[in-house]
Amino acid sequence: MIYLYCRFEKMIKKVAWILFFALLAISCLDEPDCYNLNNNIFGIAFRKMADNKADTVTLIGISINGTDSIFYEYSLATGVELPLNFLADQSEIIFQRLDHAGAVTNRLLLAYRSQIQFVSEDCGERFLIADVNPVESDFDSVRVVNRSPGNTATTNLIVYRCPTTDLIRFGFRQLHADEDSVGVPLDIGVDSISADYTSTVFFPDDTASSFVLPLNPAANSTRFDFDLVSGSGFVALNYETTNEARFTVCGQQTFFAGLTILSTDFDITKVVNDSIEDPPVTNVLLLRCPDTNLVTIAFKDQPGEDAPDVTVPLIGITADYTTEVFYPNTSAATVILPLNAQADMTRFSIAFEDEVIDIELGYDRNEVVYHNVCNRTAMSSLEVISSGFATPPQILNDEIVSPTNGSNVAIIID
Amino acid sequence: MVATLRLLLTNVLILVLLAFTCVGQEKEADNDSVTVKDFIPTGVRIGTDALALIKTAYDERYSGWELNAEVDFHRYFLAVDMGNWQRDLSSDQGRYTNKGTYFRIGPDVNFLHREADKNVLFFGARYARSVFSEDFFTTIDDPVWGTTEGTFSNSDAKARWFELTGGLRVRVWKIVWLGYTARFKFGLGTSDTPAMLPYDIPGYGRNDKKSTWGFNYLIMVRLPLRSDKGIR
Repeated sequence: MIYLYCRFEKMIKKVAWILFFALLAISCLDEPDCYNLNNNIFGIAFRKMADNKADTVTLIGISINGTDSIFYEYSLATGVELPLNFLADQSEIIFQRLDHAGAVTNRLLLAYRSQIQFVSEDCGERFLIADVNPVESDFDSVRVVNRSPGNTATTNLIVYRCPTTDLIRFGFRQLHADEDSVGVPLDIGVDSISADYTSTVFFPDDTASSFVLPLNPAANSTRFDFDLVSGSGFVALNYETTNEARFTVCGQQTFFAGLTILSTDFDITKVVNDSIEDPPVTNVLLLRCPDTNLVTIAFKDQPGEDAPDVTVPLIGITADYTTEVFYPNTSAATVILPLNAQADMTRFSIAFEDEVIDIELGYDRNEVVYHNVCNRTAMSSLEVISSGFATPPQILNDEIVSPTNGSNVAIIID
Repeated sequence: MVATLRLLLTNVLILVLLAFTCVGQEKEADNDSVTVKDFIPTGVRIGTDALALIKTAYDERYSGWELNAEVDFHRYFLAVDMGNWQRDLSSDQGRYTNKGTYFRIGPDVNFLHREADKNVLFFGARYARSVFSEDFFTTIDDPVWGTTEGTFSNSDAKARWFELTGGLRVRVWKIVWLGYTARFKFGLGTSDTPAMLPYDIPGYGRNDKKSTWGFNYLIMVRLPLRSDKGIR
């Protein structure tokens, strides 16, 4: 065939025509499609200067001039992807975020070249942005890694944060009547937390199991007063400070080390990490002694340990040794109530929607010491002395244990 | 795009194989005649791209023409092309128009230069330039940045690129020739486009393609400059 091709003109013509029609057919398939549209997505990563690792930022919101849209509203982020204004040659980006001192605003002004390009009749146009340059910024430090935004997630700019050197984390934990010396995290309600060197009130009306607080850089000790929903307490800490400029852009910073407990009135206080880290790790544990007087009462619609619990509406529960009202205006299938550690019997008055019914519980008491410092009254041999319920309540477990494990008493609701 | 490129490469590969086979034929002919290398041109072939004319007639969005000329120097040709095209692409949200002139120049090597009728199977290269203008009116509707209208224009924009070419020329009747040229276009560079990125570059095609290909079907006449009998 090839030999003939080179020898005969007719065959050359045929081949030419065949190739011509083949290529013409291919050319008909070469229709434009909706390829890459706008490449205005600009990726910003947050990192810590100290270790170049990701920094989780608590964002209130990000706004960009030219639009009313708020991006990343109330979110945690180690990076954000923002649409640059392709109709302008710069975008002013305002970051509102939270740090330990409260709300902080940062501004970033990006200049760039934006060009439009026709794509097709179907797709319309696209904008291509290039040469992005951060002309103004009040972040600690920024570095451009890619001046061309994309239409998918990519990192164009890295925002570095100077190390935070003064934040200590307190962790509240609940101990139990066992050998575990660190217990479990304890959500605790606080009215406020204050420090002895500032009038700032930290964490007003908050509930958490840990709290991050700033140390006093001008002294070698700081006292924190915790105004808790269920009482109060304080911790005074000693530490060493050094001033140095580890990063040029951050200037002189105070670094803290050698944390020790100076004084406290919490049950047990332990320093588990005596140096400050960024982000803060738990430095001090505030341990709560075990509750050994908590009785669990379950409401059931029939006798028997295996009978299912039923939810009942409650007006409140009171005890004969305190004015506190437990479970006010709530519905519950089980209630955990404190027995009177000063007596061998506690009477609870349970107010339902249409009546108040009493139940008297008796028990044996025994003084014990947990975790070397927790003087507690252990209770056992729980019994129902009397009750106003039509069906006599049942004792399911006569031992009061910490942590509570199952129900001690079953009240049968008729 | 990949499939298109693959077909183009297949086409080129076939032509290369044919060409080398023809070189083998040429060596056989060497035993029968004396080769005289004469670099004085024997004729000029001029023509036009029929596809551009057909497309102009049937596609209301396109208008263009192209003139082609080539002159032989022994088994080599110097090819010069000049053309013009303009597009008018409209949609509900806007209108794009462009207009420009381009030219190409470059050498070809004929692998059939011993063929009796002077038919041509060639490969070559081109350097190409284009000067063009673009206008784009559009309504931009973006969920973040809102709706706005804008008119964008590039005037006196410039582009250059390179081409690898291959094709055939066949004499069909006396001085009338038919042929085609397939072009692999690459190395595009543009300048003087401050307002907008070019979409369609006359002579090249879509700007977003780093490489592309083109095809001309040529109707040509060959004007002899001198007698070339006995010259191989």
